[in-house]
Amino acid sequence: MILMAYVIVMGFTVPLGQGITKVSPEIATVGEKLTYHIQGYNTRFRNNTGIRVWLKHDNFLLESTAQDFKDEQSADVQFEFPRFVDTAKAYVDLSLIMDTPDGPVVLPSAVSLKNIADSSGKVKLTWSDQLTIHPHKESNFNYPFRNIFGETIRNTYFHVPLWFAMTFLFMFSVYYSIRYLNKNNPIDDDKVESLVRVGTLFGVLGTLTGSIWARYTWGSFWSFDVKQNMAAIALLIYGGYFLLRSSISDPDAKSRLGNIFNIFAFAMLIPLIFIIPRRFDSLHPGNGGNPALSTQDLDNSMRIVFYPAVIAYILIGFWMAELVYRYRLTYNKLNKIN
Amino acid sequence: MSQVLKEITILLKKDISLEWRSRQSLSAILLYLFSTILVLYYSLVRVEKFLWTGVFWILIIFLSINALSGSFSKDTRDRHWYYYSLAHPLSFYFAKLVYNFISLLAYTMISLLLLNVFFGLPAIHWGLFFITLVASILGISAIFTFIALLNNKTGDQSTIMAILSTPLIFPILLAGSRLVMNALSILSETSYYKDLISILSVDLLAISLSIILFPILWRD
Repeated sequence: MILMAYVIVMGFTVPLGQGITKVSPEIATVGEKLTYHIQGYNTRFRNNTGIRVWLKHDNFLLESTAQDFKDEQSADVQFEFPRFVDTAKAYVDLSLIMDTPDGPVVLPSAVSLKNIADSSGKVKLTWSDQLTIHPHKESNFNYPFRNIFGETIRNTYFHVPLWFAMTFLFMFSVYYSIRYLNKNNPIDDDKVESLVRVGTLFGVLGTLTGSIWARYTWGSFWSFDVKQNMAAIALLIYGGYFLLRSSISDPDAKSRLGNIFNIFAFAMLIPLIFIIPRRFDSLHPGNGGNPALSTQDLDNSMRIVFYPAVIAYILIGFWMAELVYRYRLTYNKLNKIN
Repeated sequence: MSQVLKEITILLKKDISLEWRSRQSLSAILLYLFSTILVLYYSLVRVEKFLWTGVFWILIIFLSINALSGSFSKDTRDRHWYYYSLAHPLSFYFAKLVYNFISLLAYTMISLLLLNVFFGLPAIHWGLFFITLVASILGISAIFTFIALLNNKTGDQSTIMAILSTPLIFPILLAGSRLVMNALSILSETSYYKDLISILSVDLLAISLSIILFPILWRD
């Protein structure tokens, strides 16, 4: 419970780090002098001295020539682009880097620079690669700002651990199913049913939090991503488990068939969730070349909350299952069943 | 071992002769296939290459639900006990599995023939197509045989059969449809053998689980 409270408090209260949401205009041509409007998020532009802004491509940096901070969140920054860029590409992606006393901020691929080749055919380098960045240290405890996530990055603490916990609950239910089939003890069957019940609830919650997240990052509640579909099918399988149980009236046959189906269903779930989706392109991290659980997704400030969150959800899952189980036991005792 | 093989062949012969005597499920399947393909013919008129995979797999899913859901209901419960006293549960299981596999394969061939008559078949790499077909039908019949017995124990409700088994065969359907798309050259993937391996591993998983769980279920 303490862990859960910690996760909820930390998950919702720790502010997001500073980020840049928008830079306009997004296209520039070489040799131009342009003023960019930068929209920040959780930034403190005002009363901050020593803010420096660069555009970066590979090793080349271009520092701004003039800066004007209107308020905390918006700034006008002027850049003078060089005549030529040392590349054969027609467009060059530039990242915007901003160094503030609160720490550095990066917006990848902020501006694309249209490159016109030199008439002589030679490509000259006029970028200055002499400048180096000495960024300020990150001063506050923040979650990282990722452009497509925004505040929804907090969902990592709720969506991901729910699936972890669901897998654990189902795994233990299979263990008790095997024990029931070996020893024929009706108590084990009650345990299986309560574990599957809570596991399915967690699955439903995981799908719901996932689809809310998908609404903000991928654009719609259901994007027919492989993992989304597989999760729905997994829930259908466990729906089948409850249907199977409810369709049999004889209690002994009910628990036997239910447990046999539970073992079969869980084994079939493994290829469904862990093997087949890998063969498809998915929007989820970890599929189709996207990284998962790597340094890109979880930085240290998030790990502090994420790992306790996983443990908390697993513990709370078992606690809930035990409540359901005890309720069933008392119910059976009161009604003189078994 | 030879004893088990002998039991399997005898039980298989029994199933085939039982079916041949009544020809009930055969005629039911033929009727189903003919009416479905006729409906498809009048509603789609022409089946494009892209549609073909979908039409084919939908035919197979409902074919297998229709054909295999009653695989244990031909014999009465008393006769199940009689078989239980005669033969090892596993030989009974394998006889059923082989019978279901062969019959499903035969029905699939008939449906391919009918599709050919009505729509014509697109250009297919037949080797890959048949390997896919055999692998996925083996998996489908393994899962359906198991669920059919489970269903038989609940008192043969046809809805339960469909609800329990359809989500379970999804891995096979997904990988199988990718492979069929490869065979139709809609997809051109060089690593299609990975899909084949995943189907085969699902087959193996289903059969080995059935070997463990079937005797427990059969004892009831």
